[in-house]
Amino acid sequence: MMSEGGKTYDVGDVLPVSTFKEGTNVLVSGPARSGKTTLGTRILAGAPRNGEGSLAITTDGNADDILDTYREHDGDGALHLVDCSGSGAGPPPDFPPDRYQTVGSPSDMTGVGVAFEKYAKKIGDRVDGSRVMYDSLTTLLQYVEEKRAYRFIDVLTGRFRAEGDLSVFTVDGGTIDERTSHMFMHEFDVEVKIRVEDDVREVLIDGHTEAPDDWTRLD
Amino acid sequence: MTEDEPTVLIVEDDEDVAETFRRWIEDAYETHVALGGSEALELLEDLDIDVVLLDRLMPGMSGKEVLEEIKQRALGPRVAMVTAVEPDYDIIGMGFDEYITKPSSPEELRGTVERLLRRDERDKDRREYASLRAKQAALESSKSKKELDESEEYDELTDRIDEVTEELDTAEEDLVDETEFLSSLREIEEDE
Repeated sequence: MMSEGGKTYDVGDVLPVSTFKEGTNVLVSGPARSGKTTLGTRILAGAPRNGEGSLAITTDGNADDILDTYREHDGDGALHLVDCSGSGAGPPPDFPPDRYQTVGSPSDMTGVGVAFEKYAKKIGDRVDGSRVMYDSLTTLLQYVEEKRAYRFIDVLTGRFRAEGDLSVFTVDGGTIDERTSHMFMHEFDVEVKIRVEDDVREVLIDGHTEAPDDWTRLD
Repeated sequence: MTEDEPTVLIVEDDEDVAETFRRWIEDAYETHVALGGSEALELLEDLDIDVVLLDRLMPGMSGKEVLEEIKQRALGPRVAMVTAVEPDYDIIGMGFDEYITKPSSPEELRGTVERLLRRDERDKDRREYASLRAKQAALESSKSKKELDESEEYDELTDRIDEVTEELDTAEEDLVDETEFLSSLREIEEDE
């Protein structure tokens, strides 16, 4: 499987840890409006300056927001988007159509897989690994029953691991019960919990050797 | 899959080709031959077939039509399309699990069958794994740590999870293969 001392993904500008190993699957969890998508997108936006590709898969039709956040931190030249919200919104204005794909619904799991493969073929060997965001599991669970969603995540994270990518999945901890989040946690190597108190956003990282033991303020 | 020997159905209108295929694999599998689509469907209804090797171009029902019937009737075997040239279209999207171009060697044909049988096992493992994790999460959220420690059910459950995890860890290397990845996703979607 993974070789020792393989590629790493630089995330030190976003999180209180410097890197993730290739093939790491990260779950970003937190309540509504705590900035999960923003955090995930900022991780993606680290791709261009590291010569990596980036792909955002959105179930929520928020491609415009993702693009805006991305552009705040880097040019969007490396960003690819897959909209599986079924909203029919089309690519954001000024976004190249050849980096935009649609899938009919979050429940079209093969469609999401095919979109990922098309992306991977397109960027090919021009990049040194990819950062992929799936936003969000909360929405997926509204379309697909739990066990099926779990198997989907199992295969998807397995594929990302096999490809040596860095993945970030978001989930709203407030909308799924503890039992479900407990169950899904098994599929991830690292959990980044977010909370917002008095307008201060903090994260707590689980499953990473460098991670501080305490909640750490995000910039 | 049956407990003992896996069962393969060759669907091929050319009798010579069908016989060649049969000779190549009959030592390893219980092998049946159908010379046309409707005969194939009858056999599929009557027998517990694990893998179908389906000729794409046949007079009467085409391979694609047979496949559609198989899906509609939820017969559940793994289906490889046997084709003269490498298909330039998406066989996974069409519902096939694999394709094999003819003429092929015994090794190639067996390799395809083996791959499909293995994939079937993996999908079963993944399905079981999800169920086990759901059960585990349910127990963990309803019982205290002490109760869990004393629970025989929980003990057996975690043992089984370890076993399946180990099997799936080796399976994970197969996800390097795009076809494996996409057909696994389709299996999840189609599963009843």
